[in-house]
Amino acid sequence: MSSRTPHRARSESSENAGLGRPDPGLEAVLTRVEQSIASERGVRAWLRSRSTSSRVVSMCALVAVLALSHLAWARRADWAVYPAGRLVLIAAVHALAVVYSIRVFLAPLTEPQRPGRASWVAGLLLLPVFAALLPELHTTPADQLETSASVRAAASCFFYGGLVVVSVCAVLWCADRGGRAWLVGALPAVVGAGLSAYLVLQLHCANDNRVHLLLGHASIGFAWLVLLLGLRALGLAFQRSK
Amino acid sequence: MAYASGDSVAFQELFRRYAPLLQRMLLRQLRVREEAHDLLQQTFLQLHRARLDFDARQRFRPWIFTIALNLKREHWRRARRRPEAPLDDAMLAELGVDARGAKRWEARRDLLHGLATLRPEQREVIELHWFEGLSFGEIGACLGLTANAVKVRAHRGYVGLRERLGDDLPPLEAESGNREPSPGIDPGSGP
Repeated sequence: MSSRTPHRARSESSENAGLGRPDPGLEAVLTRVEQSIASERGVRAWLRSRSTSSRVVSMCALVAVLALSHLAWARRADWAVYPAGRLVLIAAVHALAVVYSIRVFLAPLTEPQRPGRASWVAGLLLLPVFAALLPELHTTPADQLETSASVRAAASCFFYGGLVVVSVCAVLWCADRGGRAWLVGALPAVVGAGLSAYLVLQLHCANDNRVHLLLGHASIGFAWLVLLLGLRALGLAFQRSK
Repeated sequence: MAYASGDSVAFQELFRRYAPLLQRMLLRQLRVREEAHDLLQQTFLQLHRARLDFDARQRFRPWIFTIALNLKREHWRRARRRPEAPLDDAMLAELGVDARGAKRWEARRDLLHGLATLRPEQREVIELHWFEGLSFGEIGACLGLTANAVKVRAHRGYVGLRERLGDDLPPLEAESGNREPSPGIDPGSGP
């Protein structure tokens, strides 16, 4: 079968008919579109009108700069004794997950949607949990802290990771072209930011206590995801009450 | 593409060429004129933002239809509903169901009502193929499917339509003069 439909001629004549008989309603839409385009100014407008590959590369580069700056100036205290292979593996897997989340978040509307992709992206938040549950390979003074002390230390890591999440989400929002439903649109950004925070903390924090890792590092993405879902539920409840 | 390099006249040309097609598709699926116009406006705004993504080797029509279809899905997701409003006579007239004969008019109305009972993915494929004139390959590009997968969906949709409308299935092929039933999707050739 030919890839061209037999009724293409009718469709093309419709296009030409559209040229000949301008619909007043459409002219009003055109005016509104032109006004919207005229208001597309500033850094954010410039950034989101870049090509998708440029936007993804630049956002990933920003996360890389954030991680590398921690590596350079605030690396973990046990850097010299921590198994390099394990660190490289954890960092590489999480970096790939961050890149994928950012790519999904910045996917243009010119690409067909893939159902269920948001669920896959949300599933990436399990990676830090698996990493935290890996068998311990060495003992550092931090490991010998009592659990209560590790939990207290987890609070500061959680707060620091939260700052990373907010920063990454803010930068990603600048590159977003919009047009997606709120929850589905924001989910990959939160996941990507949560994984970025985990990556940064892994390079910075030397506390390998399992409870600390689960509460202070791996939980960051989940916490923001729960916050996102809570805000969505509140929004829906507000809509229903109106 | 001239518009990608900043030619605003080219943008107006694109709008005048594609807006009527997109409006018709959105109106048929949303059934509320204001919502269709809002999505049309968003489609062209997104086109503006994505202009540097366009590859001149691509076909433009599936590209802009993909934007409109994605925005329509996001609209439904946001509203958490599918259209419920019935197709009234004014809407049918606006969708090109003209009154060149009461019998044919009623048949076309029944067809649109029959389409509304199909599964959304089947209805979407049939509407893009029949009403918007997209080829199976173009529809596949819009939906992220192969042309064969689109044909299967269309075939199942036509079979479903035949079951619902029976002999009342209007002779669409004859109406446009140059329409012939596509061999792979003839509703009469179903299992």
